[in-house]
Amino acid sequence: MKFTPKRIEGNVNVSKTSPIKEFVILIGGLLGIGITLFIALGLLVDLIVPRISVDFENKLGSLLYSKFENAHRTTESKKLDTLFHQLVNHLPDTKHSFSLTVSKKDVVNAFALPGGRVVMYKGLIDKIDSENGLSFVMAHELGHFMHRDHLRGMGRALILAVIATTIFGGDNPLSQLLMESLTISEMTFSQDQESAADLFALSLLAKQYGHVGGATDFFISLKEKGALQKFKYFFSTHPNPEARISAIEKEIKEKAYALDTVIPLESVFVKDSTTPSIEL
Amino acid sequence: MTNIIILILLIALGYYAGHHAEKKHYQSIKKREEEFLNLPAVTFSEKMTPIENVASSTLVYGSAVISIDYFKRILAALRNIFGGEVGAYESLLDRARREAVLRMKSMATNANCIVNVRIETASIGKSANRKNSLGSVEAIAYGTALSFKEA
Repeated sequence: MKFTPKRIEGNVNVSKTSPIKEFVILIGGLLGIGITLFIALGLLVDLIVPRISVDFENKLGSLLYSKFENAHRTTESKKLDTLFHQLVNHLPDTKHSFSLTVSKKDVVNAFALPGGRVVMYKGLIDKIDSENGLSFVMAHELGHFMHRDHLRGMGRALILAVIATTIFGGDNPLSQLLMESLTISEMTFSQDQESAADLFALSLLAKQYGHVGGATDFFISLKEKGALQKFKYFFSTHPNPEARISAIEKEIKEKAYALDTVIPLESVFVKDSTTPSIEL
Repeated sequence: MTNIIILILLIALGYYAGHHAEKKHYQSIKKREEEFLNLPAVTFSEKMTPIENVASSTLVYGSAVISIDYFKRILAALRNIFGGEVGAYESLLDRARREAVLRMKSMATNANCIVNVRIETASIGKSANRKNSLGSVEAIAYGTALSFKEA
């Protein structure tokens, strides 16, 4: 047998396709699927939210709360709790197990987590001078629960979380990963939802105190202190305070709510002996 | 936003650096393949060769490790979603195999032919490849170099 050297032309082992072209096609396909899903999920949110049972919401809430608890050092205050539960008692019957968490962070915000947990930041409490004003903020958050805005606000990620929790169960890593992606600060409510929650809060305030004095305290204090610049981010998700004040005042006139003197905050929040590290 | 810019820069850098390296490598491979054209490397066993003709036999081997670039990594990851031929890896493996054979041939000094040639592939850094690091591929070629008695 004789060996004849022979050159092999071309390369059968490497495809001739251009990598750039392949890249563009694949990225385009992926983006297309992503955009379609994004739009479809957005449409699904409004369909699904009214159908989520409170039990299921509690399940989601416990997932989300475990994440939240790790991210913030939270604390509870007995006095605030009492005030909160007084308000809850005026609510129509629901399966929610409401609870209040006070975060030490100096952020002017409060929000509603699925499952009935209201989170208030110390920064917001500092801005309010009266018990009535504080109750109004709590009642506002409770209003979001009643209207189920907190589920809508979570938007598309909620749908994914609902699907994952249904299929894989709550303690599955995938469900937890999806809940991780639900960033609380990115929860947005529409201005209509905010106004509806304001009006709900007003009615709750009337039930609690027999009058609605102090309802606008929080907004007025923000305006007076010229703090608007500083808390711009807060108002980016909420209607501007002046609009809210006038909407609240209009409602007070229409429903003929009584206005009375407010209970100053100092007398309610003397230092809590059980949690001495927190000053409210 | 910054993350996206960094990602795009990495992909672009990966593409240009990887493309350049691949072009250079193929040029060098082709040149050396030409030089070794007269040293056959075959897969049949040395038993096919009459033993009385063989003056010496030695184990020869060559191995090459080629790393994947960022562009190829992303491209392959996209392929993982949709399926199909992973073209991005083909040239990588082709280069590794041919380089390994060339190195094996360089080791076989004074040999007349290499028999019983085998080529194997292994991936390196598999555990490190989980998140944001790059993996490499190793190809190893080995065989028996024979030199024949002068006729």
